Amino acid sequence: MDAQNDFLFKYFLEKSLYGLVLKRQGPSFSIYAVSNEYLYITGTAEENLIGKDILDLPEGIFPFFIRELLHKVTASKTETDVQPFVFRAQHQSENICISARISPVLNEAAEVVFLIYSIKHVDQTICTEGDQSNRDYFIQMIDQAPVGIGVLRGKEMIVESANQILLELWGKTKSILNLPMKVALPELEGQSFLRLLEDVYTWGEAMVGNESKAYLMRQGRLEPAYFNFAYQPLSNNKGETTGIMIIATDVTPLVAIKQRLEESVANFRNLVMTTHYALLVLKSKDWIVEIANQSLFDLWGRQKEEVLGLPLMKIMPELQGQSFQEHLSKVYQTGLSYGPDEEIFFYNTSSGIGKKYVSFFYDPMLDTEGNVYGVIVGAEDITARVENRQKTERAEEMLRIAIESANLGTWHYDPQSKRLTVSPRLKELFGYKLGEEMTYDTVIAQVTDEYRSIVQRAIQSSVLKGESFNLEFSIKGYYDQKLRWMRATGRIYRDKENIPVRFSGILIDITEHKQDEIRKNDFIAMVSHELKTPLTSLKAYVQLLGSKARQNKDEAAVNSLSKAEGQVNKMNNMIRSFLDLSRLEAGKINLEKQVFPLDELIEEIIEEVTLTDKSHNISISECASIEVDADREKIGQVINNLIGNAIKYSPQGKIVEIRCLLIDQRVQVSVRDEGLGIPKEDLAMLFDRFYRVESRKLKTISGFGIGLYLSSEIIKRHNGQIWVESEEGKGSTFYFSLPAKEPV
Amino acid sequence: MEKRILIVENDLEMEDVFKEIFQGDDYTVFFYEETEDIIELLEKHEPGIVILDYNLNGLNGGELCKLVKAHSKFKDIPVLLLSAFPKFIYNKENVGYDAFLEKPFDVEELQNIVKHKIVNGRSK
Repeated sequence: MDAQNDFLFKYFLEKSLYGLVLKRQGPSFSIYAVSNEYLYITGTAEENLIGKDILDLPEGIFPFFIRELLHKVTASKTETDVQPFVFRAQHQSENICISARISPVLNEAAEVVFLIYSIKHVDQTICTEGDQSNRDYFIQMIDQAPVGIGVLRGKEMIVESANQILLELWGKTKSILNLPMKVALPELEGQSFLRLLEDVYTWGEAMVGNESKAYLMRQGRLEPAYFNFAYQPLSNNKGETTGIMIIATDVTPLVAIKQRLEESVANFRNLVMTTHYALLVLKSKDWIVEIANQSLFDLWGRQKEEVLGLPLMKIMPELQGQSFQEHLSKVYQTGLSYGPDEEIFFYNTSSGIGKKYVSFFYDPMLDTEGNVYGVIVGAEDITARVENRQKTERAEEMLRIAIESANLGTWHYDPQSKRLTVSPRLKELFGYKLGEEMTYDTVIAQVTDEYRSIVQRAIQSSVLKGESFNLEFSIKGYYDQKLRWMRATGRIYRDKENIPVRFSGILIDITEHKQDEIRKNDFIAMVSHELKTPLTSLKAYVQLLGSKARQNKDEAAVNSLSKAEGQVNKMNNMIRSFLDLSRLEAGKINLEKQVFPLDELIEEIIEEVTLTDKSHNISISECASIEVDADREKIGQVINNLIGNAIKYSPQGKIVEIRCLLIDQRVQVSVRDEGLGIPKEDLAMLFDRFYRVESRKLKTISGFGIGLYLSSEIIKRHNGQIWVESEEGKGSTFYFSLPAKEPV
Repeated sequence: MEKRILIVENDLEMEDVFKEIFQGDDYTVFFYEETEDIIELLEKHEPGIVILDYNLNGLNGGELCKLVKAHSKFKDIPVLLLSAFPKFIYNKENVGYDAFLEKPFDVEELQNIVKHKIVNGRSK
């Protein structure tokens, strides 16, 4: 192209509607030619543009975004249209709407050498249409945004738009659109938000809020919610606020979590500080106490100030050599938890070395790389528990030794499950092999016939009435059928609800003792029998002589022989009481019950006694006609004994008064004398075997102290009671009571 | 009329005592220390009453009493059992005695029992 043509070409361009011709200059472009129109629009002189690199041109002359497009066209070598856009040209007060086209000009080698950037001033509406589509796009974006977004218009804050999220967040539907904020969300009245919005509107300043609490009507309920929000003022071209954009997110769950977290941190702190477990957090290689609670200070016997922030071994140098040091080192080295159940812990106190039993755990605290940076130590002072246990263990051990050395068998019976648990010794006593099961039923079957129902009854009244169980009985060995004598004692144990849970006790083999006793009783029986034999002929001779003397009217002989007979009878009575005793102790007193009138028996006895003793005034003062179901002979023996005692222990000429009364279905018989009376201290033991009141006055009165014992045993076997009331010097009254025969 | 009393008692001292007690009144006392065959003695003496001590060598008084009471011919002969042990000891055995006296007995009581219990007219 020659220079003239070039000039013409440029001139043509200047006059045409096209904008610019850009010449390729390395990576950029320079302005080669400018149309008058372009100069007009931009208000620039041609000489300020020709030859200029586009990169040096301001936005107002050459929009920056076009630069990008130039490169695209250069690369694609195809003509490209630019959508109408708003161009605010330099020196122009108003925006104009232009459309543009970029056309490449190629040389023979098909390289881009020029670009023709032509612009066209188009109708404002076209650009506005673009606005509209941008707007649609914007609204669409708002709707899809993951936050609540809405726009309020005008001073009335009319809800012009609100995306679904904002509506949900408010708890409202699209029906609130185009309503003023006050009407749309009436619950905000009195809360700070409406005022804030007014401020934003008035001052045109944006506002943000963090975790602000609002009460909103959601699903018919006024409920608290937390929001992060921004109020952005929207202004018109003149910079006047015309509306507010609201951006808000519901952070209620987040706030709730945060609150819970804070609560749990507080709780945890409380827990640590108030728990009765001693807790300690040690940090760094020097084991510096970072956290410790009151329980730990108590455990150590140290003050808070003596502990916090100090290295462990400085606080408690006495730990040197104790196991804790080793445990801690190991946890630091291995990063593994460690928890000994029971350790003895020695510590210094002002009064010497203290000793405590402690249960520990050591938990390492690991950093992100897995290195131990501290250790949490938990400790519980179990001293009281351990000492209690040791005490119990010692007591149990002692009991065990006692039971074993006494060769006692022990048993537990659960009345609910009927399960019997016994010690090995007890199994041995019953003749079982060690591994064999003993049941309640087999045990009862082993009790000999004569004792079986006695044992069963005793167990029953123990379980039901809580009576203590104390019984001697014989059993037959499980295999050898050998007779053995046992003494069992026990009682029922109840739970808090008073339900019997355990019936247990001990069992002693008393076979040897029992055999001794049997031998003794047999011996006594034999002796009494043998003593009675000469007495029999003696008595017969005395009586025969007596009757002869009476025939011969030999008064002196009659008198002497009557006294001799009295002595024989006395001796016989003594022997007889021994025999009775031996029979009683051998368990051989059997009651032969019959129904008879008690008053008749009493009368008979008084008659009999009066025959031989005329020195006392023996009388029945009151006696109802009462029938009893009892052993007539033995009850007679008791009455005889009581009257005999009354005579024996009271001076001649005194009264012996007998009464019998019916009180609450029981017959009560009393024998009152005006004798010596019984000292208080002797009353309790009066019915014991061989018990005699020691007194100089009584030295001359014979007896073995068997009578009352026998009487009380006989009365007890009748389910009766026997007792005494007495005053020294005034006399005694002996009572016994028996169940009256039930009226038919 | 002769009244025969058969007595089995191991205390020989008692032979004189019994003879003294039943002297006169037409009583005849047959005294044995022990016996293995009470029936033979009954056949031989045909007593009107039998007095047995309980404790004997060989068969005891209770066993002898049972034999008497089990015998068709002699079962009606009254038996008086004597013992130094009280009566209740023997209650369970039920040997069938007609009377019991505990030693030492009352002479008069013994005489009364014999007088009332003895079967008359068993003379040879």
